Amino acid sequence: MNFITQLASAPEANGGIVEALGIDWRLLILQIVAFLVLVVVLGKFVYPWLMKSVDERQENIEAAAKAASKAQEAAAESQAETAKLLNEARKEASDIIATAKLEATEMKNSTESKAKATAEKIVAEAQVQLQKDIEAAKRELHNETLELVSLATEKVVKGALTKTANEKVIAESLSEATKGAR
Amino acid sequence: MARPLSRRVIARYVATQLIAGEKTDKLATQLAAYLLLHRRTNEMETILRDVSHHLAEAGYVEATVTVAETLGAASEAAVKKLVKDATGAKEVSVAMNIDESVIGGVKIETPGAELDATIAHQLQALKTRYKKA
Repeated sequence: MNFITQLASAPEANGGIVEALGIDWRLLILQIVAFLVLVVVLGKFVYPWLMKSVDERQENIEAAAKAASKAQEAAAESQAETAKLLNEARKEASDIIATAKLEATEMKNSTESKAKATAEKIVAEAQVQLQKDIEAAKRELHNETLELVSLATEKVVKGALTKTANEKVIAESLSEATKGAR
Repeated sequence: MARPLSRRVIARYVATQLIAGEKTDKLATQLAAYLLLHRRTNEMETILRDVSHHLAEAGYVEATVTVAETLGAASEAAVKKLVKDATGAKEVSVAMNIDESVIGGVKIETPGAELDATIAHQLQALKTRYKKA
């Protein structure tokens, strides 16, 4: 209260409020000039460098963010691609398995057919051989029977053929031969 | 040493001598001696067969008759007649061969011809006919 009263009464006493406040005009101007010089210097040299640094940093951050975004996108793409490839691989594997199963079935069927054909062939050959063996046995039996009949006939004739009968046989043979000669 | 005679010449000589009435023993001795001398005894069978042929050509036929037992006179005469008729020979001689394996019947062999009417032959023919190969 005392100060305010003193300030209000100062111009009247010392010629103005500036003086009352103790401001030195020259010092004030000097300070203003110094301040302006400082502003100019800062504006000319410091501020651009600072702004440039900030901009670069921002750019770096943006670039990093961009790169991260790209990486994320690439990762997502890669994941999608991987999933696609995996699906394709699964499908291919499934196809391969199906084909393999089909081929295995066909092979099995083919093998069964071949085995069946071979078995039928073996049976047919065995039947043919059996038939041949039977025929051979029949033939052999027939020939042996013929041999036995011949032997028995020989024995019977030897026992039954008397000298007179033999002479008769010879006479008949000669008679037939004579007829044949004529 | 003279050149060896051919088989035909020897056979012709023996046949001619036999027809001329030369003794069989003497001719056989000569032939045997000649073949021994020339180491040709392996030709004996062939020469004798040739002699038979020469004799047959000259009308002298020797028939070999094979029977199971000796032939009766009538049968032998019938054989001679048959051979004579068949060959047109002037004279037929019979060499009898007894072989029980023929069982019965008769087999007559002349140079160049054969008649087998034996029971053994007929049985064999039957066997051959009905035998299955």
